[in-house]
Amino acid sequence: MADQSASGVGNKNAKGDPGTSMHGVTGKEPVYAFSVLQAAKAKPDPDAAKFALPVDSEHKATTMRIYSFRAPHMLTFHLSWFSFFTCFLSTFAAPPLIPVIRDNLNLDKGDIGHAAIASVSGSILSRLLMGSICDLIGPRYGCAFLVMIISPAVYAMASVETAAGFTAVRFFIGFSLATFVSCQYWMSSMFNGKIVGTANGIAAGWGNLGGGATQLIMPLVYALIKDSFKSPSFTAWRLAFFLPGVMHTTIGLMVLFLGQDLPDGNFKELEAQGTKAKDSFRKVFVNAVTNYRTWILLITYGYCFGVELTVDNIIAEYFHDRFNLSLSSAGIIASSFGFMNIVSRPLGGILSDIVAVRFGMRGRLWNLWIIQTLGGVFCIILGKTAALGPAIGVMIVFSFFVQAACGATFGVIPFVSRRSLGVISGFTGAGGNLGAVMTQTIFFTQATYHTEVGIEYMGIMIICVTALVLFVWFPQWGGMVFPSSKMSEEDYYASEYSEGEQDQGMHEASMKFAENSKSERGRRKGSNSPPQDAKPDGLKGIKEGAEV
Amino acid sequence: MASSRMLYLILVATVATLGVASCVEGQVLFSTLPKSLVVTAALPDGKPIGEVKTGEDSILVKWTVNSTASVDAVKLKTKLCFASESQVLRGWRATNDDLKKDKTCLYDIATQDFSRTGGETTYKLSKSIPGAKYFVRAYAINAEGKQVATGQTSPNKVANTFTVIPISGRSTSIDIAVGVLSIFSVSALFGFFIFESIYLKRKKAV
Repeated sequence: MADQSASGVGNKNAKGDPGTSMHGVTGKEPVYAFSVLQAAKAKPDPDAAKFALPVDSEHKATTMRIYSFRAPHMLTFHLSWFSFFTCFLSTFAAPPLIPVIRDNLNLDKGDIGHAAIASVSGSILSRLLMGSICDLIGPRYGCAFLVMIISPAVYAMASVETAAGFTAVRFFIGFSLATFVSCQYWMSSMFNGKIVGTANGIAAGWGNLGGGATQLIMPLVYALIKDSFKSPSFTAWRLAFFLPGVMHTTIGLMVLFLGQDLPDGNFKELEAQGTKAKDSFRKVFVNAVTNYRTWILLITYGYCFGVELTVDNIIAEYFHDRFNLSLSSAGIIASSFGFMNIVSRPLGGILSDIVAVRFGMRGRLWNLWIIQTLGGVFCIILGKTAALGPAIGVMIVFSFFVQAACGATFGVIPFVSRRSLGVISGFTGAGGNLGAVMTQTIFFTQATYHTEVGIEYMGIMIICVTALVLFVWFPQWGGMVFPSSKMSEEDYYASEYSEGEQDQGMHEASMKFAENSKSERGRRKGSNSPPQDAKPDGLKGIKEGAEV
Repeated sequence: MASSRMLYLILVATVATLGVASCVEGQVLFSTLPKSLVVTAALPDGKPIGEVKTGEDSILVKWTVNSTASVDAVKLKTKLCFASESQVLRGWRATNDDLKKDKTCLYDIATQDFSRTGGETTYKLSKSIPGAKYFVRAYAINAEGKQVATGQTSPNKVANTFTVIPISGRSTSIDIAVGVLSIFSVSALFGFFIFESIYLKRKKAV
C-alpha cells in the first residue's frame, strides 16, 4: 500500500494537500455527500472500540451526542464552542454597560463608535492568521493560547480611565474572536465529513450566542455588584469585568488540560505524518484571491455577519436611549437578538441544504439572496419602529434573517473552491469583521444623525450589497439568473490546478469532491441519489494506494 | 387558514394598542412654561460654586417664586442639568422641548412641598454623577404631576455653570487584582507549554 497513514495532521488527507486541512470549515456540508457505512464495514478497526462514539477509520466521530461530555470527541466539542462563546462574551461585554461607562470615562459618540470599530477590527487579522497557527501547533494550543493571552486585556478593562484606553482595550479583546477558526478547525478534526457541517454549524451558532448572552449577563452582574455590595456605579461596572476575565483564564486552562488536538492524541505526541508532496501556500492563496466569488461572498458576509456584530455593539444602548429603559431591561431585550443564534444560524444552513436537493446551487444562491435581503428589509423597519413592543418583535425577526444568512453563506462557500477552501473560509470570516468595521464607521460613529436613522440606512445598504449575489455564477451549475454553461464539475475543480500540476496528478484529491458535488445540480426527473462509491477523504490514500 | 387569520388579527390589534398607548399622555413643552421661579445654587457657606466633587461636597439650592407670578403647584422638584458644552456630541443628553423626551436634567436633587415663600435644600452630590458642567433647574409640579412653572440658575445654559468632578471608580485593590490575575494567566499558559515539553522529552527519553 502506498500510504498507510490515513489520518493526516488535523483534517488533511493522506497527501497532505493544504485546503484539506480546513476541509469542513463550513456552516453546512451536504449531508448525503459522504457515505461512511461501506468504509466502516470494509475495515473493522480494533481501536475504534475504545471510543465512546462510533468512529470512522480516522477515528473521527460519525455521530454527535450533544449531552455527552466523553473524551475526546464530545468533550472537545463542548470545550471548543464554549471557548468561542467566552470570547464573544468578553468582546461584547462593554456595549450593554455603555450608559455607565460613557459617564465614567466622559466618552462622546465618536469615542464610543471608535471603540466599537476597534472591537471588531482586530480579529480581521487574527482570523486570517489563526488557520496557519492551527496547522502549525494544533487547535488546542491555538485556542488556549489566544484565550489566555487576551485575558490580561479583559482584566485591564477594569482599570481604564480614558477614551483612548477604552478603545485600546476593546481592540485587544476583539482579537480573541479568531477562536471561530480554531473552533471550526477542531470540529473538522474530530467529526467525520458527514456530520462536520452540523457540528460546525452548532458550534458556530452557540459560540455567537455569547454576543447575546453577554447583553443579559453583564447588566445583571453589574446590578448585583451595585446593589449587594453597595458599590458606586463607576466601580461596579469595573468589577463586573472580572467575570469575563476569569472565564477566559478558566476555559483556557480547561482546554490545555482536557483538550486534545486529534482523536488519537495531541500534535506533539503523534509522530510525523507521511512525506507526500504538499501544496504550496502561495499557489493556494493566489487561487483563492483570483476567484471572484471569494470577493463577492466576502463582501456579502460582511453584511450579514458584520451586521450581526454591529448590532451586538449598538442594540442595548439603542433600547436604553430611545425607549428609556434601565440597563437591565435594555440588556434583556438586546440579548434576545443574540439568543436567536441557537436556531437561526443552523437553520440557515439547513434551509440551504433543503433547497439544494431540488434546485441545486441555484437554489442555494436564491436562498441566500432572499434571506439576506429580508434581513435588510426588517432592518429598515426596525429603524422606523418607534414603539417598544413592535420594536422588539421586529428585532427578533430581523435577527433570524441576519443570522440565517450567515449559515446560508457557508452553505455556498465549500463549493467555491476545493483547493483553497481553508483560505477562502478564513477570508470570508475576516470579511464579516470588515463589514462590521465599515458599517459602524459609516452609520454609528458620527453624531450627525440618530441611531435609528443609522439602522435604517444600514438596512438599505444590506439590500444593495446583497444584490452582488446575483453575480455569483458557476459554470457547472449556473447562477441566480443565468443557466450553467454545462461545464463538468471535474473540469471546474481541476481548473484550479495548472497544466503542469494536473500532469503531476495534484488535482486528484479534488476529483472525488467534484463527483460528490454533482448533487448541486439539483434533482431532475428520474435522476439517482448520490453516487454509491463515495467515501470520506480520509480513506482516499488507502484506496488509491491499493489501486497502485 | 383560520388560525393564521386569527394570528394576523392579534398582531394588528397588539400593534394598534401599543401605538395608541404611546400617544395617550399629554405633552408639556418647556418653551410654554412660565419662568416664575428664581433659583440660586451656591456652596453651603454661601460662596459661589466653582468646582465640586461628587461623594464629598454639597451644594445649597435656594428657590423662590417671582412676586408677580401666580403658581398653582403642590410640589417643587429641583434637578441637576447639563450645560450646553456637556451636551455636545452626546445625544443621550440632548435637549428636547417635550419634557417627556427631554434629557437635559437627568439627576434629581430634591422634591419638596411647594410654598410661595420659597425654600432651600442642601444636596450632597451622588457618586454616580458624571463629570461635566451643570446648572440647577426647578420645576413646580401640580397635583396631576405635570410641570406648571420653571426657573434655573443659568440663563442660557452657558453662563453661571459649575463643574462637577467625578470619582474615577478605580481603586488600588482593583488595580492589584488586575495585575495579579493577568500575571497568573500568562504564566500559567507559558508554564504549561514548558512543563508539557519537559514531560514529553522525559517520556521520549524513557
